Amino acid sequence: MSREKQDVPMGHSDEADGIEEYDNALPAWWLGLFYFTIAWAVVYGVHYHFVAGRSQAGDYVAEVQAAEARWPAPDPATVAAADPKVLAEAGKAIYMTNCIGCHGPELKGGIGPNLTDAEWIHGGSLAEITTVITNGVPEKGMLTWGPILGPEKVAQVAAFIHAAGGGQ
Amino acid sequence: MSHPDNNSPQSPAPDSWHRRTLEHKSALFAVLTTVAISVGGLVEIVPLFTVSAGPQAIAEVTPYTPLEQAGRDIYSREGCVQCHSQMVRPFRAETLRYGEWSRAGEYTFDRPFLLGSRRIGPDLHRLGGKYPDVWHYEHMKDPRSTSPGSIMPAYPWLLEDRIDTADVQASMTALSTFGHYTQAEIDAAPAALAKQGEEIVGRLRQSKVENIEADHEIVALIAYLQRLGTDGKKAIKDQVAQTERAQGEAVAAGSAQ
Amino acid sequence: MTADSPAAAAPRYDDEIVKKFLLATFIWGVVGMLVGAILALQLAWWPANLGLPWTTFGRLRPLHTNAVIFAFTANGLFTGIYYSMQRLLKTRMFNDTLSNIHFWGWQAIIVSAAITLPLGMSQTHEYAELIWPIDLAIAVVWVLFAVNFFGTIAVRKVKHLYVAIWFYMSMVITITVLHVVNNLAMPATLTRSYPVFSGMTDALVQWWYGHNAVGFLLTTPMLGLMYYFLPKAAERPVYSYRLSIIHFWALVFLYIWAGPHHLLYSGLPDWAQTLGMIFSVVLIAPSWGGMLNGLLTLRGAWDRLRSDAVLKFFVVGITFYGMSTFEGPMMSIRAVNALSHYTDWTIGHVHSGALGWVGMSLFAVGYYLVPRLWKRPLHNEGWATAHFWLATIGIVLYVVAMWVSGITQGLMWRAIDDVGQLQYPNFVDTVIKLVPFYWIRLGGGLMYLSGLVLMLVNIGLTIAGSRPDQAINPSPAPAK
Repeated sequence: MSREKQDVPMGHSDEADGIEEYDNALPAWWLGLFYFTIAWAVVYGVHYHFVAGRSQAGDYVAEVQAAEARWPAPDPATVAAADPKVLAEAGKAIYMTNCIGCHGPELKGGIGPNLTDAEWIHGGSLAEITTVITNGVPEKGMLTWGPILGPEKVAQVAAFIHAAGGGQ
Repeated sequence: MSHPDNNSPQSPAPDSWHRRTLEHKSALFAVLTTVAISVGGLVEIVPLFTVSAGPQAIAEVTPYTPLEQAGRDIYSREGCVQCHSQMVRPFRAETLRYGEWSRAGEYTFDRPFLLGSRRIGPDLHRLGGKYPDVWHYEHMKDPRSTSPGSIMPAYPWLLEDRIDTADVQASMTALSTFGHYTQAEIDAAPAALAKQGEEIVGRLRQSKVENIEADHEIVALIAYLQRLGTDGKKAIKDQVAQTERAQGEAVAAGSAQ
Repeated sequence: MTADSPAAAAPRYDDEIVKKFLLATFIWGVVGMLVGAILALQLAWWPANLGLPWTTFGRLRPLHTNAVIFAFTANGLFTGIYYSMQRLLKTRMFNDTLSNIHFWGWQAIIVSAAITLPLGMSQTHEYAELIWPIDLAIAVVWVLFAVNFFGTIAVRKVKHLYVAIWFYMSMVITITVLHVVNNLAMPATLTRSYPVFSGMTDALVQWWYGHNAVGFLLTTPMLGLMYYFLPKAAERPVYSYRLSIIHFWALVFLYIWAGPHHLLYSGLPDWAQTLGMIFSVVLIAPSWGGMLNGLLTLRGAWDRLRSDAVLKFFVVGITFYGMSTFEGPMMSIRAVNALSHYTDWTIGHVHSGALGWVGMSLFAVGYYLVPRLWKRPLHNEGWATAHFWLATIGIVLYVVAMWVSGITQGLMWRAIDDVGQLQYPNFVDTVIKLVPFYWIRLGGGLMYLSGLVLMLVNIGLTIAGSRPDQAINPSPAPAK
């Protein structure tokens, strides 16, 4: 505490294998940092839980709502009437996330059939592709994507496959 | 023990309280240290055993089937948790990629928990039902056949090694201590293993995988992976709808004022 | 022990046990870091998994972490503790047989870990992977060590306990509690068991353990070593006794609370997550108390840094300690953790602590002890300096590569395109991007490892007696 008494040995080195100790004051900035973090911790905790009433579940809902406001979901009628090119653009990302495991990033197939050749097992029209994606082909391991993706995303990914795979 | 320097003019003060009591009395020092290190753990961990402060249970979550439990043991053995998390965080970027974020109540029967701490590969908590069985078969045989560019090692031995029914029953017996299984379920394990195994083998056969039998390790692992994150989906959906309604009402009430 | 010791002090201290622990430290250090380098290679180039069950990344990573924590670090701590506590308490260890059971028991545990982990026998709790029979062995050996430790304190020839002993004591007590609680399990077979706690409770208990194993194995006892070996090597008084008291008690009380920061945004209740976050931030000052007492003790000895390898290693070690005890709390803040969690940033953080603080400090202790234990000068001082530079540059390469890689991947995971969808929906795209940094990390790790190999050769040649003619004065023997 007393600045004038810097570097005064405590005289205990005989009890510490010859190691001497000073009893210098705690650096003011260090003490200030300690007090500041404690104050911050209390303020943050009280604010988060009791003032702002935040929770991770609430924050998530808010984030999703903000995203929905920024990128509003088009209604089905608009989707149906939409430009296939725009749909396909959006469908690409869905395909890359969900489909490449079986159909490959180049749509050349693998576990699932090739989507770029002329052969369409279940039909190659946009409507037929949409149906296959929606209902799946359970006996072949093709998942029923309708409930997972929803009609809008199915329309998008179908448009992408139809365009990129050369559907009829 | 004398301290000659203590009496010298240089010396700042006689022995402090800390020195006189604690450092002199090592047992007291040890006891106080034990108290100091115990407080935080007690305050944080003990409330988790209470209903109100602990994880919210989800009624639809049930224990793993014998085959899934065998698969889970393989997942533990191979250290899948070193690269794959099983915890989708409540961020839009995560739920877009993986699906619904993970709730505490979904892990009720996870002994040990397998949340993971590093995603060298993607999160697996919503893997169940995402891909067909044959995808997992091909992926474990050669990860790059299903995920081009993947850095995951192949696990060909899972296609050859077999699970041991008695071993699975030993696991179930240990887990029955915590109420995961009844004795009847343990006794019925051989039949349950065969039944669920044959279902998966049947689906693999349809996809032209011929050389796999119901007791191959890959079958158990597929059973486990297909179960991941599938319990309690409806409960979560209801919960989400409820939260959204509440938020919507709050917003409506706020704008009305 | 040897002819050149003062006769009165000859039987006083058991330095043979210190020698054993010291050699074990650096030999296991090479093993643990070599496995680390193999893992780094596997991430950069997957065929290095070799297609064998026991060489895949998933099985080898626990071997790396366990070897570095329980073989390298723990043996290093025991080295320093056995050497310093005898001198600080002016007494031989309480019981030589216990010392030897401790040493050989611990090495047997390490060997059994090295066999069982690659075989896939694992509890999957991070840093507590070892199967239940080994856990029992650890508990027994640890308790015997505790008996020896407290026995030595009981028969001490000084009245008061020096600050280093406080920190050692906090380790002995806390690790006992952590190990027992986190490994409570029901055995199914000889090699498999299931934990008593499940789900999020199991997760919280594990991270209470995991975080505080870092705290009370890699941090507090290392500070204890610093409090002994740094003032001895620098021949300077410790800066502030008062600071020692405050930061010791603050550290041992506060550290325990920070475990939940490993589970931010998990299913853990929000209140527990908040506690983990705010206590982590409050830990900055108590952690820095140790750094300050270390660096300020060196006032007046900075000129010796140029020539003294021991001090060089300590300064860099303490600096990395200060850096990572600031970085950790920052990563515990929700908004930062949202980006850093699950990425290589965490790996970088752990290694700035493990390679920077723990490794460098143990090298300092090693270079301090070898000439004193074997009573001859180091075979080659220049090699020690070379080791210092290899290690320092190696750490910097490692940590910077992991920062870049971690932040890159974290940002790619959350990147959203202009229609509100994921910009990188295919996960593999976010992995391939990291491969160049994995090669840089491997390079940094190999530099660090080669420095340690150089040290081990240096120690070996010193012991072999390359310069026996220049016997040096052993550490000052007490008067009585």
